[in-house]
Amino acid sequence: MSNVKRHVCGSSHSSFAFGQNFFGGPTRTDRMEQLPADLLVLIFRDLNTGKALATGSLVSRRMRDVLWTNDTLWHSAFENEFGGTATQAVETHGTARRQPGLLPPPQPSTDPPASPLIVTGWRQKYTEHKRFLSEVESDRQARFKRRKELQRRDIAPSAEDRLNFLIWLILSPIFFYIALPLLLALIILRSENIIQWSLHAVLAPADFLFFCGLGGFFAFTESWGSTKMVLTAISCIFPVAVATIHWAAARADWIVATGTMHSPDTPGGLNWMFIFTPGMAIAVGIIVVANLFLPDAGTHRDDFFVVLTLGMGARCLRWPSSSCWASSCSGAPRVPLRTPSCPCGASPSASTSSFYDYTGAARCGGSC
Amino acid sequence: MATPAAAAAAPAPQLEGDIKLVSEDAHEFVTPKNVAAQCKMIKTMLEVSEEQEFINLPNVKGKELEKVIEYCRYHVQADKPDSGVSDNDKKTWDENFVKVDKETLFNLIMAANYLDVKSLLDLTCATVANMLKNKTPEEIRREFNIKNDLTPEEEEEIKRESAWLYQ
Repeated sequence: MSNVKRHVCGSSHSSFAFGQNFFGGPTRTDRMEQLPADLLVLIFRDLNTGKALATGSLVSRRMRDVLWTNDTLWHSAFENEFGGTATQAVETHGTARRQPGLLPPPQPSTDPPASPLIVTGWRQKYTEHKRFLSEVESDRQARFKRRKELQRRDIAPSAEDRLNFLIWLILSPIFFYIALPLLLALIILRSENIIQWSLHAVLAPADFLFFCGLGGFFAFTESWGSTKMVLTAISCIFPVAVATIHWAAARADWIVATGTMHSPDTPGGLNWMFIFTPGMAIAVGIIVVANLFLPDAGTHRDDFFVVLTLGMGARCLRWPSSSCWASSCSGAPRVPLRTPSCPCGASPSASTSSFYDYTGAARCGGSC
Repeated sequence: MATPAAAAAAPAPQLEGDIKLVSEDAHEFVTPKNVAAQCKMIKTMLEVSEEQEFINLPNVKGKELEKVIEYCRYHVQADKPDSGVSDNDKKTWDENFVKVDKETLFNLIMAANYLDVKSLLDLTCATVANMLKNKTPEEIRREFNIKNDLTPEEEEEIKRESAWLYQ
């Protein structure tokens, strides 16, 4: 400001007394109230939202009068908030209202008619549009709640659902435990004794139940409701726990013989089938009951199907040594599908890779 | 805060020399005509009569007139193509410029409006708008010392009309 020369001239230059502002009134701190209407409008134009206008209207009578009666402000707020042109927005909700079923017809207002002061075009349109949006939102929320309610409501599966499930229950083991192994044996493994393999598969209830349990777990994970959560947990815990026990036992050689088909006279002790099978039976039982009697039964059967496929795939991969688990396969005595006997009356050799070859004959090695 | 557009109009090259601006409270400011011409009102007066030596501004007090001149001077310099002042610098300067008490701020709004300095008017209005933003009516009243002269019935009516505000 160096080159602005400021001088104080004589008081004759001023027609205002000390303590007065240029409105002629006493100096006040509520200068906002004293701003001319067009300047108040300029300030609120910067805010440019209906919320600011409505809030400002509640500050004082003068601000209400200025803000409520300024059509341009409301028009601008309308376009700012609702995008496009205000006319289009109004058209949109007009159209939506006319569509039967989309929104309920506007309820006749019980409010007393607005005073002439507050009747301005765009403020009313703004209010109307806000109401419209609010109705749309409540409608959306109501639909959402209704849908959730329906999902929660316990609806027992229909007879068709139950029938479907039973068919699935019968067909899928046949497919996975007979047809698929046969197919694999024929196409991939080219085993000479596919019947034996298939029988082995059929006679593998523990595996079957294990994968049923696993499938049940996945089948129910999508409907994570309280009842199903418990069921899922149970159906999950059984196979996992039992499989873990089994694996640990096999690692420690507590049980020598493992696999899917055991002889109760397994040398060395504990027959894990006594643990595994009942556990699996319970898990599968729960799944069966759930599918037959609980709501949304079978809605995730696709998942179950996938898991069964994967499970069977895994089972087939370990097929040739399916009667072994972990270290028990590396030399410990194997338990045959049925008690082997050698032609010479000797016991099958423990040093052979298996008691059986897959023709079903006992491997007697050099014993005979 | 909104950045005001560059000072309203390009300085008129023919405006040379100084002009004395006299405020309502008899303060005199001698300022270059091209700076004063940033105020459209003054520019118009200068265009009508280039020879006049002073202009009386009965609606602007000295304090605000000084601020307006400071604003115009800065923007005349900063808006020159070779000034090297970036938009960010201008924005920062503007933000600091409006860090004044509310009384001065409202007087500046009035002065900018009267003198027709659009960019300053935008700047000051945006500043007040920022003060209003996200405040409740009660907070606004407190902030600007406004007395609530609405009757309960009127308040009720406004609330009813703006029911969407409370949803």
